[in-house]
Amino acid sequence: MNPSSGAWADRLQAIAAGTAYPPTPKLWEGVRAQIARPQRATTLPRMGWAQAAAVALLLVVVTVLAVPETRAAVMRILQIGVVRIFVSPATATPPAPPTVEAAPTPTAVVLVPALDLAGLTTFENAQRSAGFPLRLPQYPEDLGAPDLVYSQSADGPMVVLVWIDPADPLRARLALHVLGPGTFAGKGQPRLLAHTEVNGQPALWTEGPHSFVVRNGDYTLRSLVTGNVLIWEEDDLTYRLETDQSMEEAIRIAESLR
Amino acid sequence: MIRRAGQGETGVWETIVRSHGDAVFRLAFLLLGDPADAEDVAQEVFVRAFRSLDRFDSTRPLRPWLMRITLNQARNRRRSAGRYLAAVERWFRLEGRTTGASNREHDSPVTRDEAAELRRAVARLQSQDQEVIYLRFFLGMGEAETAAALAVPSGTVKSRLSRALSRLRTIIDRDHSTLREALKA
Repeated sequence: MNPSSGAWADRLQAIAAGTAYPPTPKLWEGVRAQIARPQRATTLPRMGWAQAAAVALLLVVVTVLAVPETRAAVMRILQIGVVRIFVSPATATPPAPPTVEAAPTPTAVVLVPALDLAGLTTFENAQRSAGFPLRLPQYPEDLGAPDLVYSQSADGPMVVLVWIDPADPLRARLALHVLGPGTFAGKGQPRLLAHTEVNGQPALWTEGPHSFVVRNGDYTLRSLVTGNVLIWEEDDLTYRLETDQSMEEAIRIAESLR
Repeated sequence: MIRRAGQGETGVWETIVRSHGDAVFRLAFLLLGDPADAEDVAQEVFVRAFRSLDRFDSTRPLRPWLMRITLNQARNRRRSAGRYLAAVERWFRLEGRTTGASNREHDSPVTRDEAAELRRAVARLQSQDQEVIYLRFFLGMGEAETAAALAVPSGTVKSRLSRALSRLRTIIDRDHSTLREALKA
């Protein structure tokens, strides 16, 4: 049977036609402003506001950190793997012993990568293209294989594994980001920052909204992370586990990677 | 009209932007999932099209050409290696609020949930499959117009759509039980 015709396709079309779109913005004002400008002789990749903001942020960070005294006075840099966290001394949480348990933030939101991310692939293909072994959490025992796998190529490979919440397909139960060497990632001012350990190695735990910047050769993107994140490094790979669980649970999940 | 716009009459181009803005913005939104991204792309489409009018055959319909530029611009955005983080941010912005009124909210038995579920299922397809389904089913473009937008023969649209729907049906049957039932109705 031709899937393009028949009752199934008709019904599909009816559902598709019921899609809710945001109101179309007033495009003309922006278009007019751009076409009024003389064209540049060379065209550079156009940056959206997010990229532009991130580049500006990085420029500020680089400029500030270029002066050692300023660097010492203004912010502390914590680094785990390829993730750098910029913390001003006034707001940095003093290092906490590994046993400190952070209770789940009541308002914490699980990070849910959108389902239309670039690079959707299978676990097997991601494993092949990553060039490093992808390990999966064995805890919680009912977790199973990731529901969604994204493979991205930055200066270094990045793989995102997502486990969907069975009770709510719009939310992720867990998201594990594996960042290969060569990627730059920076975080700014998370609300709660605690030092801890994963498999005896230094790890960082952040809670609360904070900015997260990733840069590769072509793009710099800054995003707002509102969930809890555990960051650690093993075998030249940086792991970011995003969850709404407590730090203790996140560590248990992290240490179950096989 | 297009010729006059090509001669620099921006007022004419304004009329074109207003009459094709919905289609361009919606296609960009379908492909990118984020209103801000879609607005950015839609503006870029009309700027690029305006600057390329001297290369456009004014005897041909304009909409498929605009849609083709939209597809290219959206593809460029989606290739961004770090885009997943922007998508995360977008997800939060969208979470908990509706994205706008359904076009057929009052005259169709289709629920918004079904349409949203369908978008999630389509988003799991490869880009090429997504594009043909969005053009034909979501935006209701005809076969010839879709062929022009995709720059392929009409026969290719047919076969591409057929394969894309087969793959979509597999995904829906396997992972989207609510939608699967809705499609049986």
